[in-house]
Amino acid sequence: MNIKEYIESGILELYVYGALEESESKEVKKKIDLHPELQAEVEAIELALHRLASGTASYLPATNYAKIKAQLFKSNQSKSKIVRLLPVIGYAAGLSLFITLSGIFYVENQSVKQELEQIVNTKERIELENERLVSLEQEYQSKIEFLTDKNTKAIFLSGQGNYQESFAQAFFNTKENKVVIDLKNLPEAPNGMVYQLWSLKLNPLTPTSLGLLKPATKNSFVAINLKPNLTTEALGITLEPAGGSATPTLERLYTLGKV
Amino acid sequence: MTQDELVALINKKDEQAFDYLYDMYAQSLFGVIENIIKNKAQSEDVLQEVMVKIWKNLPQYDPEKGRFFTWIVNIARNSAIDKYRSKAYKKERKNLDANNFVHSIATHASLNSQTNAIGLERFIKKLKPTCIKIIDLLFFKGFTHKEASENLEIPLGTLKTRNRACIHELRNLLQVK
Repeated sequence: MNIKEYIESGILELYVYGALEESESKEVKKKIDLHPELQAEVEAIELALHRLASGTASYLPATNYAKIKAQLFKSNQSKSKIVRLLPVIGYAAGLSLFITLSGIFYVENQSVKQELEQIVNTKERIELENERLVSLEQEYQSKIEFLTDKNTKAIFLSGQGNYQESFAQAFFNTKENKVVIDLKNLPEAPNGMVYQLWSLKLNPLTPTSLGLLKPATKNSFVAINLKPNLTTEALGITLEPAGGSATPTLERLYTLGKV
Repeated sequence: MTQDELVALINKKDEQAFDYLYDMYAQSLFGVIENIIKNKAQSEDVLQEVMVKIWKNLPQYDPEKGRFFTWIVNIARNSAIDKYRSKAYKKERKNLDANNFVHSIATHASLNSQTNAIGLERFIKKLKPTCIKIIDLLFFKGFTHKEASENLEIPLGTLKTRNRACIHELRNLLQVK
């Protein structure tokens, strides 16, 4: 192989860019290992590109270094690059005055760095909070869309028997086959008990369980998807042992409403 | 220090090794990232991701497949492009901002702590416009030589030799013999 021709072909530049296919790169690497001239050429090309890229970059603040280091070496978060460099600079200069000054600058630099870190932390917290609010807003939007949809019907489930004070509201979308229940006016389910929602067909009375009502928080709504082809003439809520029951316990029928 | 020595040192994975890695490469990787993202704060975020990725994926680096520098520049480019796409621009890499590295140097020169940046700008402007375009696509934007040849409408062979001449010129300007 003619080394000079190989260099002049321009393949080594492409090799350093990473612009060659993997198989081509492997070939180039084999040749480099055999010929030191190629190795030297590749290093020179790389150095030029390295300098070019560094030259185009803006100033990289020391906080960047500190942040990466904190991520990688959790135990040594505050150890800074300057700590590492200071002794070297100090000895090289051999001037105690310089060391003193460096010390002062170091202390100042550390406090500025700490302040900066705090600001960055605050910024990150605010960003997280903002993300949370944005997703909450989207959640509200989709709820409002559901509630105001023309196929959504509001159903009032009034208190029954001993539970006259209780009531619940259901929002039933017949097209999406979805029902959303607002439970906040039911007493909190006692330990070991759970509210269960029933779809009722009236003549003859046929209950079908629609599922357990477990709100994430006291005030949140519970959404339940219904099976298609299920005729629902009324919705009822009973209190059942944890896990729910196969048939409703009518003595603990809290609320009922006709669709 | 040769690259093999550096890689061996980094593979020890102690803090000193990380410092070497950072000192040697952070600035140039930052340059590559900034060239794609054009936003300093976001570029810093990406650089952090990139340094962590390099550190954690180091065992996967295979010297038989290419230079260490090539490997890390590739990680930097890909992360920057991912970030760029996630900004909902959803454009192909080919549509990356038309600004090239000359623009970056000009913008950053006044902010740059490295005094050589201003000098660099002066030098780089001496490069032919086609050279700037070629180096920008192949190095900064990570095009394969086939993609670059299509993009610039230059035959593959011609692109190879022309690029060689451009890098040669760059080396002269930067005094890398």
